[in-house]
Amino acid sequence: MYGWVKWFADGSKEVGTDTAVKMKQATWQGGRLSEMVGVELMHGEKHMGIFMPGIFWQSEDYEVAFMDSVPELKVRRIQKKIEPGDKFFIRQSRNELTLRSNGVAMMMLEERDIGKWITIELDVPSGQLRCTIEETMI
Amino acid sequence: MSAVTITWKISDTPVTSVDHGQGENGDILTAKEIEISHGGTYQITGCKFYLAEYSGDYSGGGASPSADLAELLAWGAQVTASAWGGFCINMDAVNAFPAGDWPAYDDHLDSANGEYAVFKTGQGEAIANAILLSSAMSTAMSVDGVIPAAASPWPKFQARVAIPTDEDTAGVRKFDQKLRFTYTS
Repeated sequence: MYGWVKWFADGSKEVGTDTAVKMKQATWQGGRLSEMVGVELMHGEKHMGIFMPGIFWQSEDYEVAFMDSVPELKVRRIQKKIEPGDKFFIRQSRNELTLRSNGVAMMMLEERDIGKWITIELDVPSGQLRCTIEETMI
Repeated sequence: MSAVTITWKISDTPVTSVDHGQGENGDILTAKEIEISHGGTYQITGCKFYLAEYSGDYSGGGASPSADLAELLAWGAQVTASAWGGFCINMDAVNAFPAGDWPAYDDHLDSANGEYAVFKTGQGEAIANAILLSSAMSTAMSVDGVIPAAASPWPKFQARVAIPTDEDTAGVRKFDQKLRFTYTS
């Protein structure tokens, strides 16, 4: 699958496949953004996810050569706003990077990180997954 | 696959290439006025320009895509007036592209000032130092780098090439100008 899945507190979900988004049959901003408890992002065999209640965002970076019209997808990302008490346990392999609220390998957060955005990105050309803390949603 | 398409226009006509013209040493070629529009339902953000090696058919080129790009970026970074030149943009469409808004040799040590820029080594040569689109490109833009959906008018910029007085190699130069942006569906 290529696209995102929003999970909600009532057990429901919204799915935005790349095809549906392109056809304007699905939208992140225009869909439900309240009571989210998790987001998954899939790009073929690559799987990203953040699973805990909070405020989430999703975006993509594109690049288009001068005088071309169809942009090339460069980066896919999901973000969660860091809240007091958040703990992020990391599960990472070559094709997976997910954050959960319980587990073994915990990411260290500091007081100054509250209000920033924990960010999981896929660099599409290289296939590399990375986790960063950003000042804003992107 | 992309949720957003980008259209480049000159004189309200979609174009797939731009010929910046030809000239002699010391010439500043006639500026081309280019409009950018997008088909996204929502705004595109973080819009930046940078140059890259020409990705199209290089037949008819003068040397190689990598040599052309390196030369163009080097022109903009020259520290003597007679050697300075390069690919320049003026993004002050709101004020009808004032002549004083074009970069000149005197700007060779400056970073992009927000409304104009020369692409040179360390400035607009890679994503890391790409040049943020100015909100002066359209009255519909209120934030640098952000192009609203269905902006009216769509942002415009002018682009031209300054040929260094000292250039000693005649021939064609080809390069890509790339637009990088972020989108949320």
